[in-house]
Amino acid sequence: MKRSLTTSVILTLVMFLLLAVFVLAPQIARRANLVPAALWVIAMAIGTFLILHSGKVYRYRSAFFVIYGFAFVLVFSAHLIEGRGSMALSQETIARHEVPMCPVAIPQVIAPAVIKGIMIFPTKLIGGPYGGFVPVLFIWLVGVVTLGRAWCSWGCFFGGIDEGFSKVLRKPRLSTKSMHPRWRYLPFAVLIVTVMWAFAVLEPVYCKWLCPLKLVTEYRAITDLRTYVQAIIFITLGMGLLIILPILMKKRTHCALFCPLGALQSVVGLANPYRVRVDKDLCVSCGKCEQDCPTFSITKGEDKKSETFVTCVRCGKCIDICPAGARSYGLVGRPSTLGRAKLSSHIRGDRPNTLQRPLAALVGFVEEALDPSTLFLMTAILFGAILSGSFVLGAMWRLVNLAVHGTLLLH
Amino acid sequence: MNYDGLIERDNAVPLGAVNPSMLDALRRTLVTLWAMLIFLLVPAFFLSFQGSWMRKVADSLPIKEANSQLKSQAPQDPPADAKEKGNASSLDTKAEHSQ
Repeated sequence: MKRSLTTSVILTLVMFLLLAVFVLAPQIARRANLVPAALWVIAMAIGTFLILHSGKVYRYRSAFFVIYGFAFVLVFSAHLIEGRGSMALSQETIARHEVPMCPVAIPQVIAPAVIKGIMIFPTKLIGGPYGGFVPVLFIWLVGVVTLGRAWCSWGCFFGGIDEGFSKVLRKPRLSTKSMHPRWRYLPFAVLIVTVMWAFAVLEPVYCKWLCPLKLVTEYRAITDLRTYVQAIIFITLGMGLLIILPILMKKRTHCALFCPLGALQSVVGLANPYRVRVDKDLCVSCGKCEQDCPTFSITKGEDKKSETFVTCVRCGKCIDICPAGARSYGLVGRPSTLGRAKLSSHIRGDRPNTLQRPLAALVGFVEEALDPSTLFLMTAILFGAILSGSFVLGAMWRLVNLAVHGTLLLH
Repeated sequence: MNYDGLIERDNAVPLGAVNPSMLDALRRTLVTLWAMLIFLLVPAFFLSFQGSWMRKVADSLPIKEANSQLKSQAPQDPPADAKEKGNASSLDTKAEHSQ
């Protein structure tokens, strides 16, 4: 949905002010160099304007999200090397509970914490360079309420990695047309198995044995046969799900086919009111959205019109590519607003007088600003921009350091 | 296999024939207000992020560290600075209390 120039400019200013408070102000308080922070705030404000005014979500969101994902990996890995001398996790670090809390570990941590009062992930409850369990839990909970499964496209630290690799080739080399829809249930199976397994042995088994993200973050040091096998598993899964399959299939294979947090997010995220809606009157059943959806979340219904599965990550690709403009962000229980007559058009009429014109402009602004699609985008951009801010700024500094001093490490 | 249960169904009311009854209008207003509140939740949360309330929540959680297997494999006497750091955390304080 395209918005008028006036609405886009006003909402961009609102976003700019909010980002100035959350990204610039902390830098001023720290007396840090403001140039990278100012550049990031301006870039996000321009991105907000482009998304709102052009109505193209995926194109600009994807650029932000891929930068965020790779900035996170760069900063996090560099932090680990600066602090410990290696990305490898030693037994001592685990015993001291100094492992940074990972959001993907949340599903397996909850049941033992609630039922047995035991924290099975070796992290602090609060404290440490990344906050510990409680801050990460709260970030995730706020993500659930504000974004639902859109967390996976606007807030997740890791989602930008397979999304980035999925954009390497112009056309897919591996066709997914013949893939059965039941593959979409695989993350739910991984979720159920890891939650039960972790509860049975009171260990973060997903992190130990399955997590492919160890390829780009931290992993256990190889000290015996067991850790050697674990390394083979995470390297294989990481190379496959984060790099090779996304490149060949042009899909977010880790997020769509494996991530247990994504599966949990699909279920608990139903508490969030935003959905991607299809205007069935406008849908021409071309199948383009089904073919291009990065997470296999669209199928054809009985009426041959497209339907959105619960695993939709609200990335906006189907909205961008739909030739009939039949898809948009909407609210649960409300029909799509795409085809609805606007009150501002009624007020303006065919020949507006001097009173009708400003009144219609005002009503038009309110209609556009309070449209579910606009509310969702403002919420998602704000959440993503605040969460990504420190990582992107850190990555900028480290890249400057690399250019000037030849190293990504600051000390 | 039937996947209908997990399809996010659209409202069945055809767009051209929406009859804005009072109940519909009320429901739409409430959902929009909920969406606006959600937008406000983001700045509210990040403004108070890592405030004292978060530490209070962490201290009040009845959760203690486990990983007995890992702990038993760990060196018996960690370095002094690590000991200090560990004692500073609410998690370790709780473990001491429970002992």
